[in-house]
Amino acid sequence: MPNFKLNGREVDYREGELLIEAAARHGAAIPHYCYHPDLSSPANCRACLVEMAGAPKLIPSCQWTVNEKMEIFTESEKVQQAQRDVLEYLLINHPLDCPICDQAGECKLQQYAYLFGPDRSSMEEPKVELDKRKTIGPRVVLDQERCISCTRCVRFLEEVTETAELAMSNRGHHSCVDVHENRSVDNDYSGNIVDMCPVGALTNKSFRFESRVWYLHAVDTTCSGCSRGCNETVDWRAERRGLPRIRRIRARRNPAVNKSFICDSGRFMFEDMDKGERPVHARGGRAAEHGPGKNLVAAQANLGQRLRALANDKESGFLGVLVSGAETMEELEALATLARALDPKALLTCPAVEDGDLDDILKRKDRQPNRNGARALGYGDDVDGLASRSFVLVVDADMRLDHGLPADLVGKAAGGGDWAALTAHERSWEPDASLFLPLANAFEKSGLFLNFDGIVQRVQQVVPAPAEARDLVVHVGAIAIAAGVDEVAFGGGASAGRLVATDGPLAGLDLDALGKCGAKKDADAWENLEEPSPLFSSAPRSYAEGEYQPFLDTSTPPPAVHVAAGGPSQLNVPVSTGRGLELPVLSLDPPAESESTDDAGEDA
Amino acid sequence: MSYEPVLIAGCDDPDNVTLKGYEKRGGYATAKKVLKNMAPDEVVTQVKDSGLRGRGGAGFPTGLKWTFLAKDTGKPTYLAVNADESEPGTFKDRYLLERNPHQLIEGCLIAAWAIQAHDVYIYLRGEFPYGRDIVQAAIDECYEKGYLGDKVFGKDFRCNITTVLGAGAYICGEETGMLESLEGKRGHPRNKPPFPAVEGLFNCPTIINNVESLSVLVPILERGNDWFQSLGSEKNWGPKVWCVSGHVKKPGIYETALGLTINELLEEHCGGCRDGHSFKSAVPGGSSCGIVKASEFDTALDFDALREVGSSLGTGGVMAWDDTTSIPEALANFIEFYAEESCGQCTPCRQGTGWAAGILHRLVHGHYMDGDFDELERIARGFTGTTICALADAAAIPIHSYLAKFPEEFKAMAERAHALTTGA
Repeated sequence: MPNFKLNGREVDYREGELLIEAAARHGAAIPHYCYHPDLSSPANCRACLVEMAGAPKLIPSCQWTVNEKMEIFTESEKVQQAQRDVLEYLLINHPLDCPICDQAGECKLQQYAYLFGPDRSSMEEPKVELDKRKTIGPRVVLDQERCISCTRCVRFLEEVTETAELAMSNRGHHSCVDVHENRSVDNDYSGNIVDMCPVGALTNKSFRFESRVWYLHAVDTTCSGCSRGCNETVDWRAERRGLPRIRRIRARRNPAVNKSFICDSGRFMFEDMDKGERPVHARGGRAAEHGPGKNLVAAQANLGQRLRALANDKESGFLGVLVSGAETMEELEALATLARALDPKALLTCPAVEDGDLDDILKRKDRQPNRNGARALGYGDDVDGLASRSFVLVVDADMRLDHGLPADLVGKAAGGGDWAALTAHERSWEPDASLFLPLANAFEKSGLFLNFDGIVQRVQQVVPAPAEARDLVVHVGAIAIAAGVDEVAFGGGASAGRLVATDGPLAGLDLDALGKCGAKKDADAWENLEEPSPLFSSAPRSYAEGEYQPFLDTSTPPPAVHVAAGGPSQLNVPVSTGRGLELPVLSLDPPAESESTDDAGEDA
Repeated sequence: MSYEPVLIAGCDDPDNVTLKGYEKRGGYATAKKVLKNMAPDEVVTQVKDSGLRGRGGAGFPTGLKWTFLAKDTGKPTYLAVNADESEPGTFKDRYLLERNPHQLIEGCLIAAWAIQAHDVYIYLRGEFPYGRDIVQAAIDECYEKGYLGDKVFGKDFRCNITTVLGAGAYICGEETGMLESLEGKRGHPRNKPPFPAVEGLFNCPTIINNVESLSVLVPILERGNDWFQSLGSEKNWGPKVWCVSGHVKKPGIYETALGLTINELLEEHCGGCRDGHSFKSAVPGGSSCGIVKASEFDTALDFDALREVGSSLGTGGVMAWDDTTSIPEALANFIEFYAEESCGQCTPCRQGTGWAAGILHRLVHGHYMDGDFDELERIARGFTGTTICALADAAAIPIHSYLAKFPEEFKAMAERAHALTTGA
């Protein structure tokens, strides 16, 4: 790879790489607002200005591609001065209502003001007043005063969804983002503009004033809304009473799968968990035999015993399994192994249901996240064949109320004989089953999904499953014991082990090394997909995790302002009327005692 | 030295706006001659050798600009005429558009031939609907006569001219802002590079010239470079149209050779200062230029001499101010203009111009705070050279210049304001 000079060091760059991206790879963090890795670069925020040897003016690093002759300085005095100026300019008309702003704690304006900006402004003029609360769509509320005119939202709606509901209106310091007359940001990707907004100008209606972000815990997982498998970060919060609750979902960047975006159907999918009456208690066991509180055990045992009885009485070919495709690889593998152990001719079916909305951006016609995985595990699409089976297990781990296996399909498959249902949410057909076991949904279990493109990605448990809802692997293990299938193991990652074994569908995959962006089979080996720079992540980790690092180079802590014992008036910078003061240079060293006294004295 | 005008020559004749009237005084003979006898490269070379510097404000050599044009791109080349004359104090292009449209069209033909552009767009300021009608009527006449269209002057050269009326934004006079506006978008200046000569209108190579620069091509090609260089001084050759406003007895449009002094222009041509007053200062080229004190009025009006007194030639929009003018109030007025006209794209300009305007507004309304002037200079330094286009730089120039040249006026204003607030 060719080299260029960055802060006096020779570093490599890729052909056509933007300066800001190359610098980030080499640990030079450049502040930026308008730059977004998946949008065009207008270079209008001017926060990313850097010095290029030989250039008369500072250049925007989000606009210039690197070339071999470049000698770049990202931390020179001139650059730092420009950064301070831009931050000061951005803050003069910013309302500074951080105490009531949802973005506080993960706000780029706060972060950069701390890292690169002056700690005060000498602005004495009244701030520009704009609309504080403007509903611009069914999901999004706009605060024009907080807006810093980076135009990310405008560009997203122009370049990605191509719906262009938003535009900049007015000029000068009155310019602000606004929605076109008689339009509403009602496309199915509107939530992304909230993710992308570096400040608190765009807020999510459902998350507005819901929680301070530092009380949230972030979990990186994969969306289970369709066969794309978009990467996302789920934020949950502990509750005073009851189980922890998911508060919001943000897109997580994965250039090969979903760039930095997710659709609103996926983003607000967690809200479906609370809709309807989710059945969380097992039915159909002989509870009396097991005693009070052993409902789940009774149902699992009953199912296992019935399967054993059938296996003993009938010719093989009695068992049918119908799955929705919302189950993880591990679950489907465990289920298939159990079914084949009981009945070598068991019919495994994962019907092709393509009822989703297809678009050119992310959404796929197939709404199930792991149908590709089911296929890899030998699940076919023969629904008619199930009707002749004397026992059918119907499994549907889809968490959404109106999705999952359609009623007519289940009716056709289970019409022939006895059947048991395992679902993660209310279904119109589920009360008809002779036995019911509640399942954990995609936020309540961990595992692997294989998306339509053959990319294997990890699902992480975010919240615990309620009541008797369990991971299918757990149910299968209990059923296997009751059914006397003890020659195969179902606990302790046994199915994961069989998945990656030499004859498994994911043969050769190193589960411990699986990256956050998943892996794809390239020729013979599984290759991890490249993880993007955390510097450009649209979903910064919350402070509560203690993980958030705005810098790649963690060896240099960000500079801090030292506050002496006397409170704000004892800061190591002069506190005056606020006018014409020297802009403070943030230093890591505590101020010398005498200096700070002198400064305070002069100003008093 | 007697000077024979070549740009505003026929402007007093109402017939000059018609093709007949213009041809009566020899119009289109030069364009015909050029298209017939000269190769495009020869035209470029002659204009380059003439040393003509653009009359739009920046003074960039016109011929040199043409040579930057990207070649063999497989894309069409465009000529865009910047008639978005919005610089405060400037009204020369308007005069030429309304009274001498055919000379502009002839100039466009020569330039289009030189750079082999088949489509010319004249972008007029939104406030010029009257001028647009006149230019459009002139263009229509040319189409009828075969001077424009598929076969210009019967030659196998297509040239179409389209007029476009802006919507009234100063920023659309910035060349890339103008291109965006021409494309039907918001007039947000573009990042450079790529420069318009490489990627301009509709991403095709584009040359953007000012109305006066194009009009002056006609006498250059007609009379030759020797004539052109006999006017003015070294590197500052040629005729120039001045538009003088302010406290002179005879404000208006004047045409002279470049390089006369401010005194000569104001005293000899414009009749001097109005009675009972004396000049205090002048701004030689629109609001974006530094101010010139009356004691410096013997400075020549050209690109280089003015730079030495901290100003620039700009557009040639001379504003002369007498002793009744308050410099701080003039500055407040100008900066308010820039704050109003900042497109709002770049942070420093969007916020900085508004902030500076706010301070000045407060000042002239009698409220001064310690350090206001330092603050103004600091803000202006902050938005100089850090933005996409030069609007912020243009706003910084008067701030620095006015404060440096008339500190006593600002100080007096501060003292008055102080007395007002404290009652002392």
